[in-house]
Amino acid sequence: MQVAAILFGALFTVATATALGTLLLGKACADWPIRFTVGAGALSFLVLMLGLSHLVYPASFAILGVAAITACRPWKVRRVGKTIGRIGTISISNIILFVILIAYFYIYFLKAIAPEVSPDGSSYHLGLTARYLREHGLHPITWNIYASFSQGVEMLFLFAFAFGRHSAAALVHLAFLVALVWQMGIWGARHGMAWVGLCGAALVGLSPVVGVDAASAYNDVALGATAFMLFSLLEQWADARAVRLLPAIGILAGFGFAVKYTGWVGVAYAVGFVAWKSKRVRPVAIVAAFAFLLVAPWLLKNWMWVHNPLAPFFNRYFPNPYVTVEFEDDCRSYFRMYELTSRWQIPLAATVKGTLGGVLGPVFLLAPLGLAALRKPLGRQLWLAALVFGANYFSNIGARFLIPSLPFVALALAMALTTLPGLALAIVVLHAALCWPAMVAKMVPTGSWRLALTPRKDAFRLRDPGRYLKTYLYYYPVCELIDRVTPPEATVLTFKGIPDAYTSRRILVDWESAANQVSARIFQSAATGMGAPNGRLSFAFPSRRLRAIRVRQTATGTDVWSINELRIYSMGQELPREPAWRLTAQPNSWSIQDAFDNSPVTFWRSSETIHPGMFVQVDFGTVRELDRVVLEGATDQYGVRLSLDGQNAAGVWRRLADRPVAGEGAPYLGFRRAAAEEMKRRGIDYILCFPDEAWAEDVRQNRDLWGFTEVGSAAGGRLYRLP
Amino acid sequence: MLALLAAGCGSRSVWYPPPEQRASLSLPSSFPFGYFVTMSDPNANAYILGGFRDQSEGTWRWTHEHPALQFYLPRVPRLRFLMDLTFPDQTFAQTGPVELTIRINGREFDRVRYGKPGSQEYTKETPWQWLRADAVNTVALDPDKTAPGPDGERLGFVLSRAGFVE
Repeated sequence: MQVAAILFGALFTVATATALGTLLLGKACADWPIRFTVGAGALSFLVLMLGLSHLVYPASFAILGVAAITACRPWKVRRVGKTIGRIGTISISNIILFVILIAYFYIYFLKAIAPEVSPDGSSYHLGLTARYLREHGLHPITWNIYASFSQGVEMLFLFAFAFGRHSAAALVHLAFLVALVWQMGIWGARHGMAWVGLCGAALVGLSPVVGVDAASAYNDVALGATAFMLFSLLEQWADARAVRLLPAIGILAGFGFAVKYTGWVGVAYAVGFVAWKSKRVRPVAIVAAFAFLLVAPWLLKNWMWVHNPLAPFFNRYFPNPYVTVEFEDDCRSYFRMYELTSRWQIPLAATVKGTLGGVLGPVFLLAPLGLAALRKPLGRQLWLAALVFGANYFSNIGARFLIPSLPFVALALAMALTTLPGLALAIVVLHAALCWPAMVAKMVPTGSWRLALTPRKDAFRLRDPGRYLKTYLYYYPVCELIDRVTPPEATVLTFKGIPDAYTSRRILVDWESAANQVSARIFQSAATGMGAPNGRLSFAFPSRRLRAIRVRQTATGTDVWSINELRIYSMGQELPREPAWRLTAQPNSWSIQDAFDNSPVTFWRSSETIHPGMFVQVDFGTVRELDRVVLEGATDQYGVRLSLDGQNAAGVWRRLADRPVAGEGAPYLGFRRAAAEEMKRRGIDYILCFPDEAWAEDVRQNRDLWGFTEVGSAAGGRLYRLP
Repeated sequence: MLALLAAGCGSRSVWYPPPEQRASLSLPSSFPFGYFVTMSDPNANAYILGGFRDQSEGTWRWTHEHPALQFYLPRVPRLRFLMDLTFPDQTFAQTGPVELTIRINGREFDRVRYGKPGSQEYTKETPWQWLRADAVNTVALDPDKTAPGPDGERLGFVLSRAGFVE
């Protein structure tokens, strides 16, 4: 029954998308992969609209799907038979190729229909999808940066998930690979190079990272397929100039962005191509308008909900309380190089070694041979598309980020290889041998993302799915524990990504939002003493009557400035904070109140590395007499350089002290308990600790000081309830 | 779209009033001393009952033969006594290994043998039967050997900070 639901969820989604694509394209394009992908864009948009209208119910999806399929008359389906005929004639080479492809797609199918265990699929791709279904729509989510990415494919997952849950979503993603490979075959046939198309399709379809990605609830293959469909459709439009193709081109271009931000290049490519070929405004306007239709909701949603249309990126230009510049800079820095020391290591790492999160397969080391295709116009078009869709690659050099440009490179390589009889088939057979899961397992290090052969009993639920999940998802038992021992509205803070697609509770992963990072730092400083507010920076000056003070940071460096409490004194007595005071900071003014709440566990943090221009300012609203300002904070801010200015009654700013005197305060008693209460105040009900974490032992030994109650343990982790 | 993009691109300062004030974790400022002292604290003398040099040298202070400190301890679930101390090479060369007797409220709490010079951290759980809650508690730190210093004084060890932590 579960398998039937999974298959129904996936097939109903694919059928609805194909029906919508067929309605949009009519007879202008008969290629079903293009119809499916265009329709996927349309369906994704419609599901998003239903989500924003809080109408996410299986019934609303059923009505939408049935309406689309009914409106699409069956005669259009017969075109599929024609496209099969176009791909190639029966020959030994073709049969070998088809057998290989069928074998690979069978193992992909088993993997996709099995319980979802991919790292991102089992966490945010389907975690958010499941949340949208539970909540019957999209709501502002500020505790998880992934909710701010465009989620075009997740909208399709949501449609499928409503009927078949996790595996139905993974199967929908696999449908994009089927469509991609099929369309590459059609493309070859259309250009009188059926064999090139088939070989190129096999090179892509057998690639290990493509296979494991497609068989998981990810989105890279969907983006790759969308890019290639766009390329193909633009070619068809250039030949036929059918106006009806223009909206579909716009939808595909916009859908690329909706699938993944990096798909923005598709919009530029489509608009540029149509402008270049037509040299008229109207076709360009149609394409741009439909692309905008699919792009805009994601930007507007982010603008309204997290104050940054391109969240979680570009936070320097769109400052917001939800993602810090510091975090963004760290991520960008890591994803530009991973653990590599030189970009020259990328080819080997991405094709053979698997140190970039998967492998394309050793045969792609031959990709430079594809440059021979530049001799022909088609080859030049392929390489141009490869460059366009690979333009973002160096911002994240993960192997799967090459997938959007891979079809073009593969076809160019196939064009080069087919110039020698038998060579292309030999290379494809070699590729098939090297990419078989058992071979890949020998090639790549443990932990590299790859496909494992899925037992049929697990795929078809002939065995308890929990057993499979526990085998392949180490932290799955933690999700079971959380659902068992916490109330439905519980919020859990964790320092490890757990497969939250398998729990209905709100899981806060420490780094997944600025607020989570603050809560995590509050907890960590109490548990480990790292960043504890024992430092005292004291500015003493002759007593002055002042309207405002400003602490300025003047250095440039890699430290981040923070203040746990800023206290102002007059004649040895602290000035009580008054409602008339006005506080601000630059940057990150949103959290400045945390430096004035009398709690040493909370803090203001610049949240970006230090540079001149940073300041914290207090305006008293009237003139106050003062002679000392003390900053309480962490002692590890070695590069920070501070001075103090004051504004007199006439509004004139003057330097009060060039530098503070550093000292040390007593460690606070009750700090752990205060930290626990602050976390609770910030909406956290439970915390999950694992033995390899630096704070785990402190929590275990000092539960009484924290006020924590251990409510269970799983996979080595202990779950504590906050006081 | 341009309007959307133009909405960002700014460093905006927003003003906020002081928030609701949390209960203080510090002792009231009317207390002359607390539960922990750092020798860089201008108020360090308030903790010292005797047996120290009159002045700190930045963040540390020499002890003599019978250093003693006083702390005010609020009622909290559990406490540890903690101190950071140093046996400098030049005095250790004269004293050799030093045994330190720690007395809390007049009762011998611990004896620790320091067999090599350098910085040390001492920390030990201090059950409440040794302590008085919401009251002044004394801690004496008696080294069994001291070295001769300038002006005829006897030098024990160097203390950076001491007191009670959770």
